[in-house]
Amino acid sequence: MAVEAFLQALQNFRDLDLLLFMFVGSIIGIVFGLIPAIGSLTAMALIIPFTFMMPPMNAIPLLLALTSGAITAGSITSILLNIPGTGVNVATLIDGFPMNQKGQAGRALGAALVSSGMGGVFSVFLAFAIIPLVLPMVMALRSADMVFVILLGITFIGVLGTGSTLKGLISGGIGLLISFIGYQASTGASRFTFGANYLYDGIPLLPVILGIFGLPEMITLAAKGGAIAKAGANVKGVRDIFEGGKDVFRHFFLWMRSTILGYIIGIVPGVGASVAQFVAYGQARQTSRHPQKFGTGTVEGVIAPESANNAVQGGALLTMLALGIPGSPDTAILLGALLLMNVIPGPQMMTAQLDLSLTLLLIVIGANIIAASVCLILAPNLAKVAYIPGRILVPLVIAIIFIGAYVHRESLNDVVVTIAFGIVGLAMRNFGFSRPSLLLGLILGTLFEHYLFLALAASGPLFFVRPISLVLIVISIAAIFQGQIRGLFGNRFRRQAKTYETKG
Amino acid sequence: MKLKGSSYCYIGVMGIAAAVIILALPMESLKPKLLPLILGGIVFVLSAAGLWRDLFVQNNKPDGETKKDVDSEVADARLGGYLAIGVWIAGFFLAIYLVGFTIATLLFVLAYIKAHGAKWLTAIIFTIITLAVVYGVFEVVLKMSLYKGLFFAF
Amino acid sequence: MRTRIRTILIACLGLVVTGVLLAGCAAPAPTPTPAPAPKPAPTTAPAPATTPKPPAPAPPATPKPTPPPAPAPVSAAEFYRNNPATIYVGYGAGGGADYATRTFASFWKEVTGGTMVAKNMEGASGMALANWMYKTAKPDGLTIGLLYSGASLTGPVLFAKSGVEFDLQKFIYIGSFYQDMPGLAISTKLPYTSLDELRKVKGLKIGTVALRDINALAAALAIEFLGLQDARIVAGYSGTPEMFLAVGRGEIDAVSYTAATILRERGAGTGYFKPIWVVMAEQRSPAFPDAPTLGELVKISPSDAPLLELLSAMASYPVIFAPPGVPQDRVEFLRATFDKMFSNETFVQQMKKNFPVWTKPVSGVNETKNIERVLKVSKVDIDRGNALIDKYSR
Repeated sequence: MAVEAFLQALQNFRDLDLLLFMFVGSIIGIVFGLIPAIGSLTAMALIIPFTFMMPPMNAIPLLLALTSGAITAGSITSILLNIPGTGVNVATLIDGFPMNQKGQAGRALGAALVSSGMGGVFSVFLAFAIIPLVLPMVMALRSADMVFVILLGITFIGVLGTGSTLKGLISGGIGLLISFIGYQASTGASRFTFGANYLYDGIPLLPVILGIFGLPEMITLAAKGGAIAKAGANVKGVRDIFEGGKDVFRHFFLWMRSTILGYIIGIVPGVGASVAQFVAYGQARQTSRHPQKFGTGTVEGVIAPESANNAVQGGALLTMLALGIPGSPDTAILLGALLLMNVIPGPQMMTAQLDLSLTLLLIVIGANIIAASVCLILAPNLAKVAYIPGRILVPLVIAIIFIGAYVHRESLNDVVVTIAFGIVGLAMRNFGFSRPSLLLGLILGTLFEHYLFLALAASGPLFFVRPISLVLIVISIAAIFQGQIRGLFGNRFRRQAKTYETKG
Repeated sequence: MKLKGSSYCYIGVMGIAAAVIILALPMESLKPKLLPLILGGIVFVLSAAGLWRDLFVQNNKPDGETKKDVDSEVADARLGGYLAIGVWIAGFFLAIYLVGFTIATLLFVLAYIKAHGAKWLTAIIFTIITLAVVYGVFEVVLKMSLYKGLFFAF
Repeated sequence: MRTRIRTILIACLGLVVTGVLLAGCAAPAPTPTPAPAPKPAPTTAPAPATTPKPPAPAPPATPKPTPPPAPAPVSAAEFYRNNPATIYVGYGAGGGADYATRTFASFWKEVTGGTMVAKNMEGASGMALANWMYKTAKPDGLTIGLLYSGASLTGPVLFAKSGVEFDLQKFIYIGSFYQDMPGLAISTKLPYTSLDELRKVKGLKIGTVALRDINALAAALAIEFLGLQDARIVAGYSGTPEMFLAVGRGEIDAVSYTAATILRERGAGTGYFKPIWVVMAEQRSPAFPDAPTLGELVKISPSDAPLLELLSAMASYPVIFAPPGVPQDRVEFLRATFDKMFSNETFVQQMKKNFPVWTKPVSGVNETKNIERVLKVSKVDIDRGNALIDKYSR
């Protein structure tokens, strides 16, 4: 039956309209991914009204491809301007932007785009392979286990960026504290809002991202003069891009690990790509032989998050189809659109309507290939942004940051938040506090609280006495102390472990 | 025993953590205040440790951090540059508040590029490009209404 | 020299592009800027949540908005044709309310000729949206919201100890989709079939989304009156998708939720639930006509009857509402559109796909009366209900 469904899906794929809308979707996604500050979410929300008039088999490819396009292209501004194109390309800038400053923008772009495209495609093959396993996997996880899935993400707070572990932890802690601003989800009580309406809904993520990453870079550029890339770097254009693509194959196992990791996080409802990117980055650093190079512009730091964030889509799509539960904000919007087109997600999507599910997965493959190819063609020219003099780049980018912060919710307060976090970000940048850690804390804080209280309510204070939870606890501990653990296993790694400890 | 930039950061963070704890303590039920209290405490202790290390253990610092501090000293030397761009940004925001995004963007981009020694032509070209993107993408294609400014709100 | 020419060419190109864009913008009918009606004192403290006493003289069914400073030069119909509207749903994507909202938005064009976008604003089980609509949303009639009234409007106002920052009577009600009552549905993992069997089980976990709403009250009353031993309420799920999944995962044993939503979940084929087992209201639910009401299962003493009446008064339905202060002609238009929508056969068909049992929609005027009925419930009964929720949620 599965073979029949697959053949039917391929048959669907011969529809010219479907291909056309897939292509159009990818292009729209790329455009939105390339404009810093408007992510795929905004793009989807804007496109959805138009999709109502289309037949489902035009609208669904359009929306699916749009997400793939935006996530793929979103890495470009992360690398070039230190401004993530979408919320899921943040981890890419930790190493992508330093590479750009070293004059390796082309190489970073090549690596990011190739790992993105391949990650997106491979995740769908993973999806094909484990369709029967998705339901049991999702059903096995309870709120208690989710607490430790989130905790595993929190353990990576200390290792993002170049500063010391202590500074990383403090930054992450501040991020967690900021996430508590606003109402508390289970009781509705408002915290730290000082009576301000604006703060009731919490500090919005997008202005924070624009503020702590984008503004400080532009401010520094303006204060120091020159261009983003340091003078004297030699650029080889297309050859740089090609080199970056080859890097993905040099680190093939890292790429595969990150893709699988992203895919699994995608399957788990309620976590999503914004966490997957950091987990992928963290594991890349923790398993690397030279963790001290991370954060200074190493290509592995680009490959890991970029392959993971595209891989999330395949996983999240599958969960959404099988259970009607979106695994990421993008799939949440897609789910709304599917419902309107009378595609009702549920277990039958894995049985009676398997062909439709497979068609959707094939669309993800197609869109990823289109998006990566188009971006690769554009990349050599885009990479030249690094050499635009600051006096011209700074006003343009600052204007776009401000407008991006505004249009998200049409609120001038968001622009004020952007400026405030710009100042915070500048201090953090200059004194070696890790900005990605702060963001990770901000993303995970309320999630952690939500699952913690659910687990307590459902299973009492001993909620963690479950096999899956205990395994996750062990993994978290191993992730924290991996340096020491490695030290125990023979002398070969001892030296690296030592450098790691001091570098944190 | 000299206070450095990062020391001020640690002190600031300690202040924030203390404020969180003070604000959270009087909350009625346990649920909303549990995690802020725990985390506020942890962050306070961590930043106190950081301050301690800054003040008394200066010599044992890892290399990476020394490099960063040198970097920030270089930054201090260019304080004037930071102040200048700060004034530009503040001015831009004020302009947005008063006359709206479209005109403020026009003024900001044009003035900034011109003030940094470019020819009029270059300044005008880039202003037009920015405006085309701002106006074209946001207002025309996306049909979003950008903020019109205090002067034009009536 | 050559570079100079090139820059001039680029400049011309830029001018042409801007010109085209400007022309493109000017071509469609110039959209009149909506005259923003001032919000009637948005900063005044809302009625304290614990004492929702309606003012002695019954207020008119529709609160009179202050007239806008500049009279709108266009009719409401034209206004909605020219300006895109937004409907916010207070829950995440994937639930029944989300579906209803998106269906409503997608038929908006057919009925009015304008556009409407559906957006999710989740948080605090819908209270975030209610507070936002009251305090921040522009009362220009272009922003409306959808919430389950018993779960997110009347529930928090009657029971919540903090977080309510809106005044139920000031909202403008456009209409509600259907009326339905909460019921108790038990996981297919449990073997029990009769009340006697269920009474022997210890520590049954009943899930609800919010702790201070109609469904939590229904769960508390079920535990109290059916005499379930050591049963307790597990609240705090982000929405029905997460809560239903928790039943499937075996994290909780039962849920207390709107009968129509549970019917929909069973229709989706997940197989998490048995049919609703007891309806927590005075009459049976059309969604599960075979399920007995609480009163049919056990004898309710006259002193307990008001609690059940309270449940019926709050009976939960998805209601569309607007922030206070929307100009009267736009309110009339919105209400007329709502009624028109339900005479559209395709719209009703589309809704029935997800809510197989369809009761009549409630008009905006009647919905306002419903809300007032809830606010008349006596404080003693509310306190008793709240005490029961407290008792079974620890």
